[in-house]
Amino acid sequence: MSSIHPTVNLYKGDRLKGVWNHRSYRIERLLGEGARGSTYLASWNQQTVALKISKDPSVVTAESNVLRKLNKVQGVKLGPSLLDVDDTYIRQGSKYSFYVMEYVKGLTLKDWFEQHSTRKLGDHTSQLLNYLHELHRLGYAYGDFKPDNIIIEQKTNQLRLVDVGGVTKFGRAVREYTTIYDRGYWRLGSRKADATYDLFSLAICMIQADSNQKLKQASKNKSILKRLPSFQTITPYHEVIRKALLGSYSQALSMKKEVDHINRKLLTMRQKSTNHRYKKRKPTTTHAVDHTEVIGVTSVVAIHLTILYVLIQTL
Amino acid sequence: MGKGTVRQILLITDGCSNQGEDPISVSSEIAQQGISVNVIGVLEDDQTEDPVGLSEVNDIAEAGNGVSRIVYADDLSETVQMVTKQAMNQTIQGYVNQELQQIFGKETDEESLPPSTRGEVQEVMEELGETCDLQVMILVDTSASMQNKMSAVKEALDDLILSLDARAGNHYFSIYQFPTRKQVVKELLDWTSDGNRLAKVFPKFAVGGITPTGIALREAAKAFHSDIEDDVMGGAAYDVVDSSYRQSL
Repeated sequence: MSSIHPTVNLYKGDRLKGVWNHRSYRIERLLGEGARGSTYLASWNQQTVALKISKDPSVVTAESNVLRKLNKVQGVKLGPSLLDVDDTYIRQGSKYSFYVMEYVKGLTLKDWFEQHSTRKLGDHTSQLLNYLHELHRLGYAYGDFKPDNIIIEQKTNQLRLVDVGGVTKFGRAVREYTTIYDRGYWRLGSRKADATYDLFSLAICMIQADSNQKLKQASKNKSILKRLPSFQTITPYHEVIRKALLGSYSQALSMKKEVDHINRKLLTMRQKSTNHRYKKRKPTTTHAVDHTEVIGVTSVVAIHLTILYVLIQTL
Repeated sequence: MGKGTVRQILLITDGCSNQGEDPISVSSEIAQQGISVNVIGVLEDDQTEDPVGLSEVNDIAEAGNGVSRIVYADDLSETVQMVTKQAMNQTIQGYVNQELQQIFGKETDEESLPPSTRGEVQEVMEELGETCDLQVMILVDTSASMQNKMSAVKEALDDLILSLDARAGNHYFSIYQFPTRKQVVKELLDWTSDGNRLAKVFPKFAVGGITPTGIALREAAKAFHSDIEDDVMGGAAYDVVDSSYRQSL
């Protein structure tokens, strides 16, 4: 088993029966594949669920352990609900471990960025900081924080963190990470799990929202700070991002405070500019606008009269 | 060092051995000494993911109770740290399963426990994985074809040290290259836990021709023993000597 990739290939219609809890799942399709296993959409008792299976049983045990802990948190939903943990024999052959969790339906933040770029970036960031705050209060870092692991749930329109493979106790080596979201890769700090590790990744997520250019894994030019100014669609957040990259926020809440402040400023600016445009371009039936229209009409008449007067004079 | 230390060899190569002993049988001998042999095969950019010449990579790791991956140079960083970590967990898992068998009888391993109990065993293993000492010997194939991959190797090792630094347990690494003009293997860096010393090692990599993987593994594995006897870990004196000029062990 040592040399083999952890992927377990399953196909639509495959049935998995749990050895211990005897529940039977029907595989619908592949949802995602990672370095530690694959997640499938499955059905059980007319319920749609997400099922993660790996050739490495410790992955299943570790992640279900984390989900159990997160599920205990009241108030916010930090991870998908854990529904089952079991072993199964695939096609009468080898035995594999799997766990079953709630299926969070919706668009990943990655897809959202592709379709909407920086729209709602401030709101999303603020909400994510709230989750991180709750998670950090438990003494855990999320670890593998990236847009692919965040889903905007269709039903509730809330953001959800769906992959807990990287969740790590503070002070330990981050369990799983993705290169460009990793503080260590950019040489801006260690891989020890702490609050600032997640805030760093979140800052990279914000940069990734800029659809005009994407960060790529490159062996040269590793200075993310120097490149920050070139991401121009997120200019209002540059300072916050810079501070998060440098580890200046020791807590998610202090970063949230500044993000919220910028959000409010942007909102008032936007409101002002729309009001402005409103007066200039969009005449409607309200009284005030009627008034400007009247002025418009009289001035047009006046101009015509002036031109006429000039013409008569020259003749 | 003693009981709480996990020992590994990490072999980074891009091809088949073509001289001397069979690396697969050497690897299984090394594994019997409690040292696992992990192998990373580095692909040329135009190579397919499953080239015939690199099948040996998996076989050496399999025989050495280790982990193997075949990757392109670009993915080396990610792979090196993952392989090291996985192999360490695997060693710990083997050890814990042995303990379980002593308690519950022959047929018991972690997987024969119900999933709920397994969670507790897992936490013990994670604790061990975080706190145990780790000794990694890095053996780099420097035959001619590896030349253009050296910067990727250096970066991957830098990255590995970063991951090791994040652990609570101690770690020691050493770097050997093979082949060189005069010797099968040459020590470039003696056991150390100082990542800064990596940078000084890399200019010394001279690239040679043949790939005597089997002998290289055997020779390199000896370093574990000499160092245990010498108690190099205890004294920092060795760090002062430029070890790459010492005779091959």
